[in-house]
Amino acid sequence: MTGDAAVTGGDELLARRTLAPTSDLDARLAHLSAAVQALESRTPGAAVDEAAEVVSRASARLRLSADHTVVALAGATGSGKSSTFNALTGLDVAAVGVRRPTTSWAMACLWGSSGAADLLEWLGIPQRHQVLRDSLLDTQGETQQLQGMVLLDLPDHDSTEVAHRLEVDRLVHLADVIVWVMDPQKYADAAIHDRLLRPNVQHAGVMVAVVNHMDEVPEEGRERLYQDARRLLDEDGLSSVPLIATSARVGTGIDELRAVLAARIADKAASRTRIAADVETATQRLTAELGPVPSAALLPASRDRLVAAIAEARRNPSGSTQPIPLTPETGRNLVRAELRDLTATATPAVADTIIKRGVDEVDDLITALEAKPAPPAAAEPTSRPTWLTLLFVVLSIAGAAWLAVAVIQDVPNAIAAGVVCGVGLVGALITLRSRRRPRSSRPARGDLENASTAAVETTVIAAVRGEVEAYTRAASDLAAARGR
Amino acid sequence: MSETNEHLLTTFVRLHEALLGVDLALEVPEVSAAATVRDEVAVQLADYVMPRILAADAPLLAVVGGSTGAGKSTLVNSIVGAAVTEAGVLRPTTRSPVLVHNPADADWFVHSRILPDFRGTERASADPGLLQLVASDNVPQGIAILDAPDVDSLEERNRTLAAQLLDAADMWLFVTSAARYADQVPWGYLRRAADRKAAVAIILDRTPAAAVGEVAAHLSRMLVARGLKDSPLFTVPEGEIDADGLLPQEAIEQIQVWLEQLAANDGAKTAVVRQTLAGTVRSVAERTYTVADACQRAEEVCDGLRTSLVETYAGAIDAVDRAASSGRLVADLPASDWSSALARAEQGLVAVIADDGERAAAAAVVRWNATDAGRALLADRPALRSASADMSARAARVVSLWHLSVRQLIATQLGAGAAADVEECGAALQILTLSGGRDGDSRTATGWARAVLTHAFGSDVPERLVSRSRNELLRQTEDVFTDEAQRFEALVGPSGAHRADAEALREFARHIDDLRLRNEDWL
Repeated sequence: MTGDAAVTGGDELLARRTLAPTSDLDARLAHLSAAVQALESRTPGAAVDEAAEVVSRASARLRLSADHTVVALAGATGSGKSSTFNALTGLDVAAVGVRRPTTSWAMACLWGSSGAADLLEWLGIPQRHQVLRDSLLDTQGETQQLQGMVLLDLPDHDSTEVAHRLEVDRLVHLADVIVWVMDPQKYADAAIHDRLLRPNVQHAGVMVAVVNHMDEVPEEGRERLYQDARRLLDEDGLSSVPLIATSARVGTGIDELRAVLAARIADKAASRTRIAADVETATQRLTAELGPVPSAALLPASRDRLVAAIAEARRNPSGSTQPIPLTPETGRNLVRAELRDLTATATPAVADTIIKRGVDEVDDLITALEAKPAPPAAAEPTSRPTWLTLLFVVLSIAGAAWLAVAVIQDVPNAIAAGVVCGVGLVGALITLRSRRRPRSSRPARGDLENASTAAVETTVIAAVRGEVEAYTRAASDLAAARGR
Repeated sequence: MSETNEHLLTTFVRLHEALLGVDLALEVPEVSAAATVRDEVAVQLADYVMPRILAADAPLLAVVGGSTGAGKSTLVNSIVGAAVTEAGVLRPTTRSPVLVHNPADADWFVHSRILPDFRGTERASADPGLLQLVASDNVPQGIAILDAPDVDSLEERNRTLAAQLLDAADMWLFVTSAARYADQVPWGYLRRAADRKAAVAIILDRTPAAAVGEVAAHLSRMLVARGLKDSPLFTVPEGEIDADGLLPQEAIEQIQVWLEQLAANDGAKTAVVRQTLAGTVRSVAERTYTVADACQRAEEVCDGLRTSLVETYAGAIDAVDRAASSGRLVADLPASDWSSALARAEQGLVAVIADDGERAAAAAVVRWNATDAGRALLADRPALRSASADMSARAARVVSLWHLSVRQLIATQLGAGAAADVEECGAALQILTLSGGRDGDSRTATGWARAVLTHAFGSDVPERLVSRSRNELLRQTEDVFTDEAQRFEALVGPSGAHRADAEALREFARHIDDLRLRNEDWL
């Protein structure tokens, strides 16, 4: 006993040790995926679709380069995304203009390109929008510091061009780190806070906020403005998001931003942090939509009530012990009524799915019972009378023949022959009667109730249990998919 | 006031009342979008159109609108020459809108003859329901300047208020900046102004001197492309503000001169007022048609929902009829046992009605859920996902009512003093109704039932009685299913209500267009 337990414990420990460091997230993703699969066919909805999307996106990202971190610069038109991009890259790549809207399609700059080709293809950034930083052979330390970064300059999120907004929405979903570039004029825009920041509180760990163009604010107002921007972020629930005051034009704050990004890139965990946030958000939504799951512990009580209700419905009103056949309508009504307690706490969608399964099953059960004419009587009683009867018939014929011979030859054993013939006749008659009997005999009431209990258990209750267990598994998968 | 204006005013008063009563709660994109239009039109009628027609010679109201941080307050302060409204680096700034007017025009505003929804106040306040009135000699007589909240403010209340004030303006002074001029939200407003032919002047503020040329050229092209080519465009270069927070005089001189010329020229002022009012009245008619179309659409959607209910519950009655006339409800019992045959058949019938009621509710939910409007109506109404909680009791009542009405039918058919037994004949008729035309030999309950009725009424009567008894059963079933359908129907309201709204609104819109186009003398 103790030996067995030790072995199992050891296996588990081994499994945990091999899986733990890298694959806690993989395990969470697998759990979410399992829950999505279970719920897709049962209770589909927006939350299930969203979670399915997260699973496929995350699986794709995890297959791609883990050595690269995709950092997206996002923000309003004129907030200085492109100038920040240029300041970080030390290049003059992104078009910086006074004319709005400027950036039309995302630009990418890579620090270290090996293995990033697939990643860029997945991001949908065409070659002509890519710039390689390490090809320039510059000796500045920052190249080393930012090795592995894929920096994206996104189009404006508040642009008059719809295509820009769609491109932003797409890439914001794919980036590992999102830098929100705001400016003194626009840092309080509803377009940023309502649409992009507040709904993504789970993604706080993925975000960095920047107030750019600080050089345009009078010296004495800068601290107040910074504090006000900080306050708005805190009110959005994003107090853990770092806020950096910069001026891409003058160069202030860029080093600080670079250091923050370098730290995110160095631990190579940004993509996993992002996926973890996605998984967390999707899991929370799905958990909320699933609602409380019915407890399988209530099933025996439901079964007992259902069996009793079926027996009651089959009770013959004329007082005869012969139960009346169950109609499909009665069967369906009873299943609906008796499963109500089981599904009382579940959401309407879940309750409907479970009850529908039970109703379909009772339909099938009754159809099957009706198709089968009568329960076949045991093989023994029908076959025995057949050959016994034959035996007695043969005996009575033989007896009659003997009797005839005895009468013709006038031998004294005619009486014995008559007895043999009589026994044969009587025997044949008795066996014939006993053959008819099983057809008219009725099974005892207890037998039939037992039979229907078993039938209800193996069909309706088994199917309902299957549904309840599937939902329970989905709920525990979702619990396991939650971060701690 | 001209006769046309009086007619228009009466129409607007009645239209305003009609708009407030229109129900556009249905969750269909075009219907809920029209609900916003309805509210805007109603507010604009009360805030602007009706007061403007009543007081044609009131001062011209220029509303300064624009984006957060574009510099509206600084601009207003600079035009007035004093810090009347607080400008700040921090956003959003929630405060009462500020209206600056010449002291000679005070009477118009103090007594709320224009902007009747707002209470005037002398002091700065944070209450957006108040209107801070500032009298200043620097504003020419005949023009008032209103500093509205940001159109894209983080505070929803500010956004709504900005929209309401711009809708009440005779002229828009739309302020934008080099960083803002291509933003989506302000352009939404400018499109709105262009649609209504409202008089708009654009002020390009806070623009670095080096960029003014290029940005102004690009902005002009955008204005032309979006139907605002007649709007004057002023540029205010980015410059030092003085200790009072005012821009240097030369930065705003252009705008000041333009405002003074406008105020001094009665003809030009009237032209501006008329342009915006005429455009707004035309747009009120247009938007009334939009709301009417949405009402029509709501009627169609409700019709669809009602039809799916009618079909579903008609199907349920058919299903009951099929089960009742299939014969399977009458068990093959001996004639002597006819009373248990009847009891079982009635029991089976109750189950059939209850089950078909449940299935119809589920089917109705599926069909409603397949539409946006139906899904929204059913949300948070879990009781509608199944039949009435007492469906079995209702089904039992149908069967016992049928039981009684069959006895009644037999009693009237037999007449007084007949030898046959009403109870026995009634049971026989019920059994025969449910036996599905099966003949059965005389030793079964069905055979017994036929014999009893033939004995009492002769051989040709039973078929007629059976059909009357079956109709009676279906009628009782229909009553219950109609109640069941009514639980859903109550959510979409009576048939034709939306259509009546649509027709009334179209009539108003037609009348407004008629008055507007046929008469030269309005305004």
